[in-house]
Amino acid sequence: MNANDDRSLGFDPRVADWLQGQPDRAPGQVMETVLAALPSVPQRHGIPGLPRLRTRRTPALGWALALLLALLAAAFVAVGAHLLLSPPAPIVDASPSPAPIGSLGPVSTAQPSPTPTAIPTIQTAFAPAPGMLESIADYLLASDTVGWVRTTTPAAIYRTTDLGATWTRIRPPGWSVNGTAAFVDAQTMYAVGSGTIEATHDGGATWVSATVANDLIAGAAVFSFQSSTDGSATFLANGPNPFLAYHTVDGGRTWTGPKAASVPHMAASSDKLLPGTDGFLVQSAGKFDSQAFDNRFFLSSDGGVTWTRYTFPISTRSPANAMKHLAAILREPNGRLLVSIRADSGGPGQIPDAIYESGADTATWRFIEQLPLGGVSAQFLSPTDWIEFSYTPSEIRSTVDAGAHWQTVVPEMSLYAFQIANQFASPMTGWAIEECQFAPKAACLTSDRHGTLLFATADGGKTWTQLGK
Amino acid sequence: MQVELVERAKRGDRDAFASLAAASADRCYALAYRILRDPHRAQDATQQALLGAWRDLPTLREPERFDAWLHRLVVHACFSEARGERRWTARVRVVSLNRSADPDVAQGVAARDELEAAFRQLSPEHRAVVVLHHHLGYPLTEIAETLGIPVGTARSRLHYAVRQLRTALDAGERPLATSGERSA
Repeated sequence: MNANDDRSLGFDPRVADWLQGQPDRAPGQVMETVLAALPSVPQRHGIPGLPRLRTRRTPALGWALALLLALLAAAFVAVGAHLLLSPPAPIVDASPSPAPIGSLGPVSTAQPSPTPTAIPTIQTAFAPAPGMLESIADYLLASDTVGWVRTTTPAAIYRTTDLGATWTRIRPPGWSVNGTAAFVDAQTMYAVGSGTIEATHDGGATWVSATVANDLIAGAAVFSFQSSTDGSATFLANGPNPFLAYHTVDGGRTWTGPKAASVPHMAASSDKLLPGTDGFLVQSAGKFDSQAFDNRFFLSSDGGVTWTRYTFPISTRSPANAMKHLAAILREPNGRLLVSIRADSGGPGQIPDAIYESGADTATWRFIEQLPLGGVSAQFLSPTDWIEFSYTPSEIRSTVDAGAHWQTVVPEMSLYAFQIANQFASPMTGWAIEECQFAPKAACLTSDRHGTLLFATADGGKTWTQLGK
Repeated sequence: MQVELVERAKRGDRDAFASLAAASADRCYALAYRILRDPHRAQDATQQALLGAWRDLPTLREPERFDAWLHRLVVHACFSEARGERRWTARVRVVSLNRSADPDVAQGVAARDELEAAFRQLSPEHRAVVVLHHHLGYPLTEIAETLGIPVGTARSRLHYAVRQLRTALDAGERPLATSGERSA
């Protein structure tokens, strides 16, 4: 069989053209994750992982041997991968009501960090340079005027105090391209430096720095903050525990820990430590086809040291066997949870998203609101101020009285709306990010199809202005 | 140069492997994306393949074939990702309100959509054959080696997959009746 035979048999230039025009650059997180995980993945000397590339047909005996080795290797890979990539299963409370799972493994004595230091930095505002905002990896619009952005090319953090008209470069001490950063509010952000956790509470003008046990840490951190001063930094661990968590209640001036942390094992889940969602670490399952959905999810507000188990509500809007997803979470002052849930039956037809509030016992749910169909996401700004984004048709609905009354805005531009959720600071002011591949060509300065475009609105989403063009 | 990096990485040199991975990540992701049709899963598969490469690199006996070996890891990571498992992807993409009125563009979009829909109907194994052949330009022998299947199986998968895609394309290219025309 030669190349010409191949082509006459099964080559279609239209298919080749179509494949050519698809994404060809890996997101920056890929390399960040791989490099962060390398220390925890030992090399396998002398044990074949995959069958060797064959250049000629293997004799029958060789096949049998290869099969045996492959089976052994597969078993080894399965066990090894589970041990390496999946944290050990936590002890799950069997009671029907959600309860803390409990601390995992031995916990070292809480240690205050070394004396924090305040390091002033000079900030100069500048207009965004062309292309400056085209590799946004993380961002937060924290108020009607103040926002943060982290870019990957170059690795940089910027802050604006005028909704994006001008910016200052923020330089956490020791922060690098592989360092984690978390934006908490208009003045507060945390970052992992070189063996340190850095915090600022004045928009990056000064920093407090605390040293962490670097020899115990193998990879990048995940931050989860309940408030500007109370939160956790969870690190990939270099030891028997999969993760180690530090906790602060004074804005990063002192940290306690590290404590052993983990991610509850769930079937059809990667059991990865995911970035925090609305201050929580979240674990929920994917779904194996033709199998019942694991109708639970877990939340941790202490960096993965303890987890609380919840059961998804079950109703016609949220069928038991439908895979479900927490689209937004808010912990109310009374301790109850406000959640927006998306359900997917896997079959034809879409299930509308719905908002629920947990009962006082956190074991029951009260249905509050069904969101319209059409690709909707929700954002909780406060217990009473919510925003919903509908994409087909493009609409932004907001309420300031917990859903009693709604205001609808029809944007003048299409909400391609990739990642538009969670970017409104108030019902009037928001940011939206698009990928270049979904935007009009004129809006995109980069040739990178995954390049980002940042838009701002100050009129509830009716009109949008591209920033940094 | 690459062979030297592979040799160093085989001996446990993380910096060498980081260089190899950085040079390969885009290509791996492109391959994974084309098979899985989902950026998040493609990202997972790429990471899985690169970590698997680091873990199993000492067993690679032909350093000069690192790329082909890595492609095999990516394809198998894609199969793992796709095998009977759904994970939530909350990403929603919306069609522009300002669609181009250019008929060529519209037809191109329609063809793309037809291909996308038809491609998603294929199994991951069939998709992999199409992508390896049409995107990486692999001949059937190379595809068979990468997937660990006989050449005949690779041929039949390619034949079936391309026939399905052509059927979808041909259906999409049938001229539509204009308002002034009437079918018999």
